[in-house]
Amino acid sequence: MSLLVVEGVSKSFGGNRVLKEVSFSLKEGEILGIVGPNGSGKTTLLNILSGIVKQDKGSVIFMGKPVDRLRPYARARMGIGRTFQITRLFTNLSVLENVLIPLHYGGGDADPGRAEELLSMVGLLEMKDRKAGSLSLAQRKRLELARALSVNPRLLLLDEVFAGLNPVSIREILDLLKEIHSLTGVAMILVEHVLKALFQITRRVIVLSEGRIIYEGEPEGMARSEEVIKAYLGERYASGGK
Amino acid sequence: MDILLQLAVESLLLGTFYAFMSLGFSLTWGVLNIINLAYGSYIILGAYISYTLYTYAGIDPILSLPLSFLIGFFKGILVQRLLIDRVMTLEPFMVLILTFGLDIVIANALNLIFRADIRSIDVPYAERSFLLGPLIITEVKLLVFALSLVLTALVYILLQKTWTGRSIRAVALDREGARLVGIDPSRVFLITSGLGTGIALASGNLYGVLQGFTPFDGGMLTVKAFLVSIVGGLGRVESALAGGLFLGVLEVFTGFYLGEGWKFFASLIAMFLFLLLRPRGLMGGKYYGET
Amino acid sequence: MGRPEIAVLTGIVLVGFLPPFVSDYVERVVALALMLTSLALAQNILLGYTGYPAFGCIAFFGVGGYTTAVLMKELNLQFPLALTVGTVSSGFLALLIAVPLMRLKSHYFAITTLALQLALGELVANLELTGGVQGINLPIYRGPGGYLIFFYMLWVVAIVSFLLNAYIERSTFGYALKAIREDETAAETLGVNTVLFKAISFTLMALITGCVGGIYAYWITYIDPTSMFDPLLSVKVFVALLIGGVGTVGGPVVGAFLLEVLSEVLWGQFPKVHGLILGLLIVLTVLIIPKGMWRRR
Repeated sequence: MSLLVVEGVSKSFGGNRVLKEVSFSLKEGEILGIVGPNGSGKTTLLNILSGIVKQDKGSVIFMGKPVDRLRPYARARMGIGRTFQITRLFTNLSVLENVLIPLHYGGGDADPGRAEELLSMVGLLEMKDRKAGSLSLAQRKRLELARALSVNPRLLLLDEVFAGLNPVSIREILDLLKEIHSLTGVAMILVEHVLKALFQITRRVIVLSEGRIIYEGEPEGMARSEEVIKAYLGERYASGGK
Repeated sequence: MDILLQLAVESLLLGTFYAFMSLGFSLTWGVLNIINLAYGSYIILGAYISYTLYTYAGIDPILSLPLSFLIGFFKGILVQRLLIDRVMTLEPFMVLILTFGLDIVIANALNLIFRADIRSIDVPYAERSFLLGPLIITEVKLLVFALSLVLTALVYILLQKTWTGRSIRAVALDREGARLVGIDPSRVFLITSGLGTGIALASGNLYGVLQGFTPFDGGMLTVKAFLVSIVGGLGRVESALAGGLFLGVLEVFTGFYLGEGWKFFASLIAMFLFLLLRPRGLMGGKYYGET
Repeated sequence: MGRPEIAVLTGIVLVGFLPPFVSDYVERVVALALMLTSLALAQNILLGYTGYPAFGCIAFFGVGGYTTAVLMKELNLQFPLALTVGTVSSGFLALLIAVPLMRLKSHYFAITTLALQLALGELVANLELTGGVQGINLPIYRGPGGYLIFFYMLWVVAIVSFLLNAYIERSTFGYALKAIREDETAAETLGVNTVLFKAISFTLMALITGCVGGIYAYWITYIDPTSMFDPLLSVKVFVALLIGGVGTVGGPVVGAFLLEVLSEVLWGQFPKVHGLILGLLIVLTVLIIPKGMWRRR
């Protein structure tokens, strides 16, 4: 059975159609990458999955149940965790509190032991009493991951976790994601610009362009797809460059 | 039927004045994202200036209007420099508290000088009226209407046709973008504050001939300016006209059918409902203060 | 509770032993300070912990006061019952409007609550039931304890408000509010039902504020629209919070006492320019200590 089914989802802002009839599905424990040029609708898609934005048309089915009518907090409790492209930590609260809040409200139990376990997993245990606002970018991204994991997710939505990081930090986050996956078996959707890192963790990608899925399959196939080349490099480079 | 026509004309005359009166409030809100709770007391300040000039020097309030505007212009720049600039980067409600404090200061200072009695500017033409078909037209209302229309048109031309106006609109639409093309937003803030306060004081001259006033009427006028601004959308002359007419109709008809006592209540409930249901105004918003 | 909080709580409790030793005048000033303390602590739940500035919080003060007064006058209800109904009415009104109202943020939210406060003031000024602009005369309290009873009622409400704030500071309930204050969208995606907790926070503020309004109405025995829906009182609540420090447990208490004593001294010294000085005080508070004296942990 599929963990997540997205059926014909469309969304417009003003007169601007951001997503057009997007459909795909995801199996339990599967890792999917979503790539595409800026403005192709990737973040909007994540926002629709987590419930921050409501789609105009189509349906999202999670664990066999349509979740279209559920607000984000209810989806979080069902097991959809997410991070944000620009981190949205509770900056005036401590690192520990940042994890305790989702543990209590999303995961159902604010157990300090569990919170410390999560923090040590992302390597922030020594900083648990610092204010979240004082962390470095790489640390913030780790804390966001720990926070998303606090809701006991079956599905993790990761919005550009590698963006803005140096190669060392990218490597570390990549290893962390692999570790999380092998420990918890959580399914992941990564919206990503840093393709090299992405391809080390997933065998399946979806390419969005102007709100439409133009490619779905293995990363290697992307370079051979004319649609993808067109979307990234422009008309000129497609079909051998006329 | 005649009474409806009479009420409609009254609404138009009053509404146009409200449109002009609120322009400054709407402009500073739209451009600076500041809700100035002292705005109403600025208007009252203008009324007292023209009252003083008329009573002690015999200068007609219409003639002293440019002077009120100038005093307001410099006062606006001063207040922006000394007070508002310092808190603009803090939580927006800090500006609310600051300007509320300012409102109390102005109202109480006026009260110290003039006492709380109702004052009015008794120009010779204050009571005159004439018949136009079935309508009774009060001369002073017609005069205020005509002047409001002219002054509103002047502001419109200033905003649309001059470089100062263009830079104000540019900052209102996109602060960062304006900076990129070489406009200094903090300068525009100063000019806008000056212009907005100038309009407030100038409209005080007109308000003073329309009706009596006390030092503590500012709060009510701030609410009116607020309602006018929110009905149409911020910072644009057209929307202020729409909002002014809305308020004119609301007040004249509520006053006639429910009684004078309900007028202010009607404005407040309209304001509450507008904020609750259509916070971006009827025409949608795109100015800085609206996002 | 941390040590400073315990000190402040001890302070409030000790204030309860003052009345036998001080003049009626001082007793009255302290009672007013206790009232402002409760109002500031109520607003602190909403602004300090949840991040929503209800600039028109005194709307609920008026609703509590007027409901209590009308019930006592028209239905001859006993004060405790009237106060209970008054308090609950305030909370109920808040609950009713919380969901649409709290979709607004920042100064839009602030101004909308202020519009509500002024509108309700105009409403009671126009209704016969509420005595119009003339207001309502309440029966004078002649029971045991005399006027001291009001002092102790305000004292108890202040202590309860303080404990509620202290609970919010430490509890998982408080976590939900703080998460909303920090980042509402993030809070929602992490399992916090933000609509529910915003409504609870708003309602708690209204319950305390309404209760204080009811006690105040019976205490001064004469109420009118201007005194019960006074925007100046709203601003005093905010200034007390600013002086003390928004989002702390002890700060609002310190701020309220400082402000009340200060304005009482000013009132006595310069009766004619009292309003002017209060206005300047507000302006200066915003300019000089925009972050408050009591820093958030």
